[in-house]
This record gives sequence, structure tokens and C-alpha cells, in this order.
Amino acid sequence: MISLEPELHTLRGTIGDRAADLLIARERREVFSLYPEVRLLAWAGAMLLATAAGIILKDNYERIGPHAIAVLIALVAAACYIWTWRRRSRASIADDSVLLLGALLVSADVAFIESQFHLLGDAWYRHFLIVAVVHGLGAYLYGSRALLTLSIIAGAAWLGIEQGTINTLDTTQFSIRASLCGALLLLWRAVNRRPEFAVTFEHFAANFFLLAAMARTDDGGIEQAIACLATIAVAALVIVWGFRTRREAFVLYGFVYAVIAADVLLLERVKDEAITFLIVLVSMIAAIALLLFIHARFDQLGPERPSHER
Amino acid sequence: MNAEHERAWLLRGRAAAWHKEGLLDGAAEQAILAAHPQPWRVYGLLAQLVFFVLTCVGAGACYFFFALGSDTFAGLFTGVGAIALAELLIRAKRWWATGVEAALWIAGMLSLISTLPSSGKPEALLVLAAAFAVAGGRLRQPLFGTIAAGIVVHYFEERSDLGVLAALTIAALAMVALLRTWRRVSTEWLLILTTLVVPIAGRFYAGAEWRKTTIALYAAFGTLALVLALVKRHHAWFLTAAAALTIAVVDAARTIPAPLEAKLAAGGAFLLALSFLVSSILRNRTSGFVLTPATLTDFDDDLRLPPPSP
Repeated sequence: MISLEPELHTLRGTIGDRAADLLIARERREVFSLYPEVRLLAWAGAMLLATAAGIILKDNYERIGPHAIAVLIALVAAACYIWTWRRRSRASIADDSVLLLGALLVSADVAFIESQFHLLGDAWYRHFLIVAVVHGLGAYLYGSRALLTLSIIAGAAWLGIEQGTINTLDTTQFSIRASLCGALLLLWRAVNRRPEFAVTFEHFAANFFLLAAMARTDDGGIEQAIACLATIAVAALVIVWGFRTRREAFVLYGFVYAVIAADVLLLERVKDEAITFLIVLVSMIAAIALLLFIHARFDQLGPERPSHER
Repeated sequence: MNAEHERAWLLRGRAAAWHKEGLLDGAAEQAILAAHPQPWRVYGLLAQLVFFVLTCVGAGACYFFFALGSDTFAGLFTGVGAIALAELLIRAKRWWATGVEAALWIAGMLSLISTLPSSGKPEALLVLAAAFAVAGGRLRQPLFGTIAAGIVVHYFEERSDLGVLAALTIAALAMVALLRTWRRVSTEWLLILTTLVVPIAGRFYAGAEWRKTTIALYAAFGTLALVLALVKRHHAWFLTAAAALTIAVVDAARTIPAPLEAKLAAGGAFLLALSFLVSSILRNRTSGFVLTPATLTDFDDDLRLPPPSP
């Protein structure tokens, strides 16, 4: 195992005795945090329980009865929320997973109730909106980014953007809905009063806008060229945002989207195999050179800016 | 990159984390950076990943472009050219962990292997393992070393149906080697990845007829890892114990004639209860095992599980 103890001894004069003693104790493992392990244990436990609940809902509703099962899951979910709320002043890492479990049970129960009792009729998809609102409120009440993420995903599903729809929806429809979702998230971010949530909104919004632009790159002709150019333009904005907020992830995935769009634009117009490989080779060399330049500029910036300064 | 530079790289990363934790002020962090300069061009993992993929795509395009003429020429030209370019970047430009030189080295090795006649024998796997080992050794790239170990496990499975035993033997050796204090960070990471990943890969070779033996082997391996983790304190051993014991328990659970949802619920409740128990035991402790927030990698914040409640 690695130990930076020798370096810390030489740095004692620079960092002070107190910090040096604390850090050396860590290197010697006299102080060893089990935080990641306990968090992982709790998270795995919550996921297993949520999966078990899903199987119970799917396979046992006829045997137990849909009413009883819906009430039972709702009670367990409520118990999770109440447990976390009552322990909020002395919360441990494990409590976050209980909250997540409660939220997942709410999602499963609302979907189950709608599938069994058809309370919303033809507007069944509105159950996603109910889930989004519940999780959104929960996110603010408990200050949980995990619940915020569930809320955004449910909201996107309500708008028709979920796994698989990119293949089943008309690309124009998908593009419009993803753009709308991105715009709503930016609006939400603007009125958000919890600074720690800002980056979650930003990542989701950036990806929805990029997906909206990319969706139409499968179309042929002029629409495809416009979609590729639009993707490059959105990617450029995401990269600029990454520079502004000093967050490398925006810069990197914005760049990857732009490279894919540029290659689609070029390759769709080429039929010859040799020229195709040559274009890919040259475009990758150009992309690496450009990314080296962008990355060097990024490295010259200071540390990440807090959300309230952006 | 020599051991001193590897340690400087680690220390610079740790200094930023300590500053973020509030253990050091900005001036102390800057003093550490000044005292431990990094003469190599090194990037974070996310940037390395993007550069690696772009370079691999470029090298692949180069190979297939020349393969339109001759496979042998394509393999030799791409192989020699890629490795020569990687060495030029390392020696002349001092690129080390950028992702580019790693992609060039492995693409070069694989291109050269493609020129060899195909024998169809399992021993061919050893050539592939050697390619990863050579690239990993030259670049001190732990992932390549772990892939080489994984291919060796596959060879033993193909050759003698001994995949599980080979995996657990290699992982046990790496686990024990982790007891030693290493100078190089890359060696530490190679041992961590091998200890953690190879047993999981080995499980895929476990036949149903050997179920009881598999359960016993993984339970013994997991227990050894857990004992080492508790006595010597290393996150890698805790994670390895968790992975190995999970494999043993999942395989054992298959022999129990109970509904899947009941087994999942029991497992989930156990893990959640265990996390609460550990949390309550370690609450307010300041030495030995503690629960102060800590991360396993630089990416925990980006890929984080449910965040702490206020």
C-alpha cells in the first residue's frame, strides 16, 4: 500500500504541525474512514429492496390483491420518508438510502396504481408528472440531489423522452420534446434557491439540448446537415459554459458530441471506403489537436466557480 | 515517469482534496504544488478517456485504410508507426497520462499481433496477454496490466477449465502484495484493480456442477480480504471482500428454494441494517475507523450515490 508519510514529514514546516499530524495519521491508517463502504452498503441494500418491491408488484398482485399491495407499498414508502424526516437532525449516511428507497417505492406504486386502476384514463402518461412533482417537492424538503434526479427523469418521461423513445418517436417530435425539457430545466434552474442543485440542472439541460440536436442527424439531406451544424453550435455553447463554470465535464462531452456531428456531416457525403477511413483518421487527428488546445486553455483557468457566482 | 514524479502527481492531487476538505489553506496547497512540480503532461481520468477513445478511433481508421491494400502492411505500418509516435510523445514531449500515448501503444501492439498467422490454439491468448502486459509495463498503466491478468485467466479456462482457480490465485497474490509499502502509485493501482476485478471476471467461468466449490472458494477469499481489510485497513480489500462475499452469497441463495423477491428483500434489509449498525457504532469516533466524508476516487462527487441530507 502507498504512503505519503515521507513527503508529509518534509512538508511539516509548510502545512503546520496540526495538519501534518492529522494527515500522517491518515497515511498510517490510524484514522480510516469507512464512509464510502457504508454508503455503498446502504445504497445496495436500498436497491435490493426496491427491486424486491418491483417483483412483488409485478408477480404477486393477483395473489395478494391490487388494493392491498398498493396500500402496503405506499405505507412502506411513507415509513421511509417519515423515518428520514424524524432523524434529519442526527442523520447518518444510511438515511439517504432509506429516503431513496422511499422515493423509488413511490415511483413504482404510482405506476402500479395507474396500470391497475386506470385513474387517469387516456392521459395515463400524466402519472409521470405526479411522480415528478412528488420527487421535486421531496428534493427541496430533504435537500436531496438523488430525489431531484428522479424528479427530472420522471418529468422528461412525462414529456415523452425516455429510454427507447428516440427509436420509436418521430425524430422531429423527439427533438422538440428534448428541447422543451432542456428549456424547462433552465427555467427551473433560474428560480432554484438551492445552489447545490444547480449543477444537476445544468448537466441534464446540456444533454437534453445536445440530444435534441443530435436526434435529427439520422435524417437525410439538408435536414441532416442542419442537425449536424446545430449539434456543433449547441456543443460549442456547452463548452463555453464549461469554461465559464470551470467544469471540465461540460467541455469534454460537448467536444465529443461536436466531433460525432462533424464526422456524420462529412461521412454521409462519402461513398468510397478508402476516403471514409481517411476522413475518420484526419478528423481524429484534428479533433485531438483541437482538444489539446482547448484543454490547455481550460487548465489556465482557476478552480471551479460556485453556482451563485456564475 | 519515475517513482518520484508519480508520487508528486499523487501528492498534488491530494493537496487539492485536502484544501477542499478544509485541512489546508490555499497558500499551503500552493506551497505543496511548488515543492512538488510535475514535469510531465498529465490529465485527469475523464480527459484521458476522451483522448484514448479519439486516438483509438484514429488508429483503427489508419489500420483499415491500409488494410484495403494489404493486411500485413496495415498491421506493420500502424503498429510500428503508432508505437514510434507514442515513444516520440513520451520522450520528446513528456506526455504520460494523456490517454493518447496509451491508445497508441495498445493500438500498435494489437496491429502488430494482427500480422501474426492465426493458429486457433489457446496459447494465442498468451500473445494477447503479453501485448497488454508489455504496453502496461512500458506505460505503467494498471488497467492494461489487469486486462493482461484477465486474459491469462481466460487462457487457463480454455486450456484446463481452471478459470476460477486461476482468477482467485492471481487475485490472492495481488491482495497479499498490497501488504507491502510500494513507492509507485501505478503499482498500487495495478494491485488494487487485479485484486478487485480478476475474481469477478473469474466467476463467469464457474460451471454449475462446481457450485459448492465456487461458493466455498469465494467465501474463503472474501473472508481473507475482509480480515486483511479490518486489520490492515485498505479500501481495496473492503471492496474485494464485498464483491467476493456477494458472489458466494448469490450462488448460495440459488440453492435455497424461496421466491426471488424474498431473497432480495432479505439481502437488502440485511445490508441496510448493517450500514445503520456500522453508522451508529462509528458515530462521533475520531480515531481508528471513522465515518468522516471521504472519497475513493476523484469522481465520487460526479458519479455520486445519494448525497448526504442536510
